[in-house]
Amino acid sequence: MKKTSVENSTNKKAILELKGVGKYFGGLRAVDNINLSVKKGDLHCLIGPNGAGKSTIFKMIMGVYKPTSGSILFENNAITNKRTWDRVKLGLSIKMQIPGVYGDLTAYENMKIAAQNFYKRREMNNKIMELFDLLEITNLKSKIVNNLSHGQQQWLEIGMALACKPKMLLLDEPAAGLGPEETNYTSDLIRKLNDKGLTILFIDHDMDFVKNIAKSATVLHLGNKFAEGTVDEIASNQKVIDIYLGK
Amino acid sequence: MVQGKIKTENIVAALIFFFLFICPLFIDSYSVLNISYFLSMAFLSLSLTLIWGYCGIFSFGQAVFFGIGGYFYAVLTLNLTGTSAITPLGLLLGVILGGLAAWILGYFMFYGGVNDVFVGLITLCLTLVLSTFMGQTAGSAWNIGQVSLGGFNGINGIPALELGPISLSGNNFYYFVLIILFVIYCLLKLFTHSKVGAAIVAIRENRERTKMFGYNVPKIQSLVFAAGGALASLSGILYATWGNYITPSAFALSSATIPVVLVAAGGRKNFTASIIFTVLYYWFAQGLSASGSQYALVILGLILILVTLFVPDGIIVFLFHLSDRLFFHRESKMKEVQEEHLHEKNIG
Repeated sequence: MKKTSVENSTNKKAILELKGVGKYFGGLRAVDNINLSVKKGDLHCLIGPNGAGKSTIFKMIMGVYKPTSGSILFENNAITNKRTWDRVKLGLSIKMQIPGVYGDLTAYENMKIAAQNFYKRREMNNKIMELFDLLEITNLKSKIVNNLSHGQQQWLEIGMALACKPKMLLLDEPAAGLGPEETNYTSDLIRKLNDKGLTILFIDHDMDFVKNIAKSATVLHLGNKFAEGTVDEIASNQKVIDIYLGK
Repeated sequence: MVQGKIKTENIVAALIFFFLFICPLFIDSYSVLNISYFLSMAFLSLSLTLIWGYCGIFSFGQAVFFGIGGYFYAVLTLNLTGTSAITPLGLLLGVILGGLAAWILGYFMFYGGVNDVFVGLITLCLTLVLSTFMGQTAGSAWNIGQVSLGGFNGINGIPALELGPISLSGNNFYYFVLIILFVIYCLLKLFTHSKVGAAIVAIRENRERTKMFGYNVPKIQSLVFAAGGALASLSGILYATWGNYITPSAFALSSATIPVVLVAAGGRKNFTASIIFTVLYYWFAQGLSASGSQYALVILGLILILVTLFVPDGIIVFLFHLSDRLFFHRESKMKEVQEEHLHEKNIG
């Protein structure tokens, strides 16, 4: 694994730490002894080819899967054995790879389901409208979600994740299946959220998209940490280029 | 929230309850008694609408809680005949017991990660186990206090409900059932607009995602399942007091299946539809009873097949939507256009 300057480049506190985390499905090592630290305010990307273990790590962070080994710390508290809903209440929120929206309901009702656990009834409506404005999708609020485009559903889900008052946002392939304009809009949105101080950890395959927004990245390969550093360092790393090209 | 406002539904519900409140004035007492029975069975359908239609928990086990309620009420009130206020207390405790039994079963299922079709299988097995068990309870070995469980003959002579000096039989029983049904119906409608009401629909639509919005999904599922158990138990107790008997047929396969079919055919996501279809079915079955009520089951089966093929949301809900489109479409369309216009103006 290539060591870089990033690990020691900042004095910020780590908000999320994975210590020796592994996940085995029978004989298959989906994730093997991963150490990862995401600092407060960071915009960090997990990249790697299919089967590298990226989504499995997200699922372990959110409590969908229990790690076979290792521990996960959020704001210095061990959350390895906490249930998903408790982790969300601590400040972790996620946008899934396949939009996890409620298709038969309106966009507003979707937001309400996400927000009502975190806001009092009086302030909830204002917050939801504020999020619609931030995402620039206020005109969709009364639409049935199944009738929205893939991109609009992605943004709505980011809005729903934001409605959970997150301290850290996980985005699983936020630009998947989007056209160039939609991808640009998503990049701007993620940067805007990070500029407001939100820590973001995201997964993506698209190196251009990653270069465009991420401050730092970790490369995973076959369940192992392969490289870590700034995006420029990663993009120019010959070994990383090789695994992406399948060499 | 969530289901959208069906205007026809509200109008039909208001008309039906109005009709039910005044109908004893112009129909004979035998018919009133029959309608009391139909309405008592509506609670069983409501319980399934709540847990299956709204929360997505498919259960064959509502007959279990129906039977538990009926048997508990019978054993308690027959043992303590003469004790003041024992029948309303039996009703109350029976409903609590049904809810508690459902909560315990739900707790182990939902915290254990059992969901979807497996809940249906577990609850079906439980129904069949209880049906077989209660069928072999003939003889003095199966007495609880002074009451014999009676094997296939069940328990007879169950006392009617009494509220102070008023014996709830005939029209009194009818109004008692109707008022409870009306109150529970209104509460359920209110509940679906509440925070938990929105959460249970979210669980139905996408259970795993809902956990990631901070909802303790197994806890909510267990509580909704408990509420369903309490409603089914209430239905069983009202049924036992109506006919003054309860038998193991309460747990039989047909008893477990009929509520599922009724709710599916009427519209599982709609309380009004469930009540209407349940009452119509029992009225129809009663009408055919002279020639053998098995025909009602055959016809119900055919209706279910046709509904599943052509109107999977349920026949009554389909009619509600059809009427909404015919009579209220223009108004709602105008409102939509107005909202869009207002939004464009705000952006501009």
